[in-house]
Amino acid sequence: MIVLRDDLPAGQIERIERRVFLKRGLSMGLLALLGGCEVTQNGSVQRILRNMSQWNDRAQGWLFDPNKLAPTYPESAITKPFPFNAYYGENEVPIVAPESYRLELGGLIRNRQPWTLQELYALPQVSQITRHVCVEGWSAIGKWSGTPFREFLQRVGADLSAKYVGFICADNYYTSIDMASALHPQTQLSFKYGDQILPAKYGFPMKLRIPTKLGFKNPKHIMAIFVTNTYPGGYWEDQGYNWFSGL
Amino acid sequence: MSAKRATKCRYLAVLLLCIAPLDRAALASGDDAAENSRAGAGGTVIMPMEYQKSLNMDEPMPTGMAKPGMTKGDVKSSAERKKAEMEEMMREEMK
Repeated sequence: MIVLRDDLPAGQIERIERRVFLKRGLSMGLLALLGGCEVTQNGSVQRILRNMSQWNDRAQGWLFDPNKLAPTYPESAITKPFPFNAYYGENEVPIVAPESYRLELGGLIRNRQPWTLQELYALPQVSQITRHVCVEGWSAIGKWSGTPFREFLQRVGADLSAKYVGFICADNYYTSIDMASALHPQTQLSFKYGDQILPAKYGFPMKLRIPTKLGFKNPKHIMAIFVTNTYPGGYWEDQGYNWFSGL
Repeated sequence: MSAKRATKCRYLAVLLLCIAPLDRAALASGDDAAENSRAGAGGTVIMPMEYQKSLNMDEPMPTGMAKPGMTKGDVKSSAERKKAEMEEMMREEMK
């Protein structure tokens, strides 16, 4: 099976071939695969599907290798233009004023002092050229720069033994990831795209770049980060998409 | 004016003088967005609001992830429900 998006430039979007699709099928989650079908609203069926999805999360958690890196690519492989993708149009992206922006911290974090953009930009930064894979069936390669999320969590005294890290975004989007993935060496708080300050359409002032997970686990326009042992879910996850969503 | 009444007026004036600066600070702050995003009690986080003034809440979502009937406003509604759930649970967690 080949899945294409017709509204994106031909030849610039990677085809998700069948074997790759099946290989990643565990990550897609049963409910995502059923997204285009008639799914009964029967309570017991929903309960079964939710239990299966939770089992799916646990299985992926066991299989996750914190030392295995996502593939990286040369500059020449970068998709141009990198696609815009959100639950709204490009003319509706949130506008966050840089001078008044404060990254709020909450939950199991020792130092919850808010961060200004200047303070964030002063952190050590690294770059990565990795593939963004969308559950819709397309992918694109991009370059992001920012601070390793692990180092940020250590710096603020986050409880690294906690289970979850949650994100709250300026577009009201919210999601969460497991702590092991948060600590993965390629998980990054990104401030730049393509060596330029992150444009609004790509998530200004900050996004989480996590190339070991599907695209909807890469929140943009992050306003707050919290650490907790209480399952936070996420917008799409609460609609039935798989929470772990590993690649 | 009786002495008792004058005393009451003085107390009221002092109270009003104390409250007024707080009101002025809230109104004068051009920092609406930051004011709407502050850590709540117990280290929980208050959701940010109103960064997308142009968002049409009733329109369907232009994404393949959306299920039939979903609108852009659903995300905000869900976020508000989630905020209420999480704040309470996280306050308990941090006791």
